[in-house]
Amino acid sequence: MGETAAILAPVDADFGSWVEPHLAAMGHLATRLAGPNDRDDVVQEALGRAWRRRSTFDPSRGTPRVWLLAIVADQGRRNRRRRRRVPPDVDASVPPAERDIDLERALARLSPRQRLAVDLHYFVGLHVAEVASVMGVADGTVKSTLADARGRLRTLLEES
Amino acid sequence: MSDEMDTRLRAYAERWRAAQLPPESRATPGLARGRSGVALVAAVVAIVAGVAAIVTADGDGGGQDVRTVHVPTVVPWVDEPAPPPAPTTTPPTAPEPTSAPCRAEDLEASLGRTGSTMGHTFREVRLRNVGTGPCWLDGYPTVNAVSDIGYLADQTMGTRFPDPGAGEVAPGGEGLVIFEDCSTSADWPRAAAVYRDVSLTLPGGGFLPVPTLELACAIVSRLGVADAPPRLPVTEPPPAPGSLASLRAELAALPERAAPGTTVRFEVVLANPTAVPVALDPCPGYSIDLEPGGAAVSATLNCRPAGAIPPGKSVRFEMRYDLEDDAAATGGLAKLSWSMSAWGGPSTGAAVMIAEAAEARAAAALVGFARSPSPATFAAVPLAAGRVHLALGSRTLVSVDPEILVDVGGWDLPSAAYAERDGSFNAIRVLAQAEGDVEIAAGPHRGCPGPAVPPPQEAAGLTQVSIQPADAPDCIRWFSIDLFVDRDGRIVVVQLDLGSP
Repeated sequence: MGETAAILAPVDADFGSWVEPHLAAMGHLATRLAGPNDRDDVVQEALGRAWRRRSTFDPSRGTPRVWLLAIVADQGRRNRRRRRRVPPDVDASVPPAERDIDLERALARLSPRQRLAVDLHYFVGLHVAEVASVMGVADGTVKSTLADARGRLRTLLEES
Repeated sequence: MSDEMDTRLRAYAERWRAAQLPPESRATPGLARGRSGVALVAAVVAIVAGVAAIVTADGDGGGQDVRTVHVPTVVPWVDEPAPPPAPTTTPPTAPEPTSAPCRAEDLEASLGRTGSTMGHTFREVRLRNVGTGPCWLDGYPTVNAVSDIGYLADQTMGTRFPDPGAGEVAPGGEGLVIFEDCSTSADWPRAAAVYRDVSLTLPGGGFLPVPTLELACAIVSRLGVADAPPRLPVTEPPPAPGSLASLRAELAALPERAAPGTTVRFEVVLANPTAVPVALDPCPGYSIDLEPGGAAVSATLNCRPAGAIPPGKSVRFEMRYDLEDDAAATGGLAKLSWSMSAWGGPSTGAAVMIAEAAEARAAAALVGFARSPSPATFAAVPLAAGRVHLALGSRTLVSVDPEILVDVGGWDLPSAAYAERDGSFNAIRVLAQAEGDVEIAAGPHRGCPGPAVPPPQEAAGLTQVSIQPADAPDCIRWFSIDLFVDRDGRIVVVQLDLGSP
């Protein structure tokens, strides 16, 4: 019951409470897409857009989490294009192991589509169906994109 | 089944997540009090102000001897960076400050006049200097307020009403700031909250409470000292005949649906409704944006073939916009905007459905097979059951069992049918030998040179998607492989169109 109320709540209830359970996931995705320095800006801009577009949220098309993450994904892309960001270095907040550095650099060389699927699935922790909803594609497309991404990562890491 | 890379990614992601701090919540001191225990999320309400570019009207365009050259049916797109934007009307020089900027402790705010004109309502806030010396009022304040649904710390700079002029406020004197009340505006959502506890953060420093003011948004004028009541909203003068602003823009041939990772091709029709020619010299720029799902790009209009748009005539310009691979992230309908406003021209827009398209997937699979022919890549190509029609130009030359197409030689077409080219007519080999990237685009397209060849009759009622070189330096190296797919996304017709010298 509580979940239903939370899903239907964007317009009339407290917007802050409505988005709060998803802030961590939004922050994770924003960090992956824009880097730690721009994370809060991306989340904040995404929240602003979510607020303005809250009346367009349709619970029949997905959960608030999926909807908010889709906005973060879009905001992250706009941020990336606006700033012409180079592939991100390893997140300075994470103690870097050499293997992690190699993996992070390989991740930066994936296509934007593969990168988004990997970020959503592994780093944000979404199920395949949720990733599909965020990306607006079929479940099977996500699976094949993830498989392609893992194959590409294997190749890149072997080359490095 | 998980593989080693899956395990490695999971492990690294877990370490990465554990090291992350939660996002910062931007509660603002003072206004967030009373909401203890709740991370107050700042709901930033930003209203996109429609900024109309006002072009300096020098009025001499109409009498010029304007060169008009032969205009092709559609002026082709060119990849040329946008020129610098046109200068807008130069604002009057601001007076130099004669005293220190007003700080919050210098001022006391009270509500002034309220009025409505032409459907727009203004609220005036008077700012009395309660200090001991003069202070200078100028710049935009930030508006802070709270409501039941969140905290507002924002402003949209510039109302429809004239700004008060910057100036000095003597002790006991008054300045003002004007709010436009968007709760009465048709384009403001009815569900908008009412914000109370309004205060202003002044450019000079400090929070200045504004008693009893309620807002639905934060559209503010500059701070200033003019005592005159706000006038009617300024009516923009009609554009000067012959200026870019006098043109009308309209989108044409825009596909209803476009797939992520593809190029949206469409046309912009620039019409000249005036009685004098509009010279496109120098060539103006334009920008294209997609919201949500894209970012603005700008380029120069390929106006040289047109030269000028004669009175009462229109010219069609080919346009392209590359959709990113993840452009469907927010799903559904998006607005594609085309604008020449930064260069003093018109703007327009239309809706496009951004969605993964079966035909785009089919085209990508065919490219994959061409680049790496194997039974596995062939299996990914969704060919229609029964017969697949292979066409050269507008004629179907062979209709084959799809099974034989696993062999690249199965795609060969008789070579005698094409007058202007010789060699192997094989869509897969053409694709494999293409230099550089290819571009997948939905819908009809131009040929090279001139119009595209019509589709073969077997393509009637099917959905078209094309594969073309992204950067063909000339027509001899240009080709188009057009796929016509059925409702199930299966390829029924493959049409090979080759450029002519």
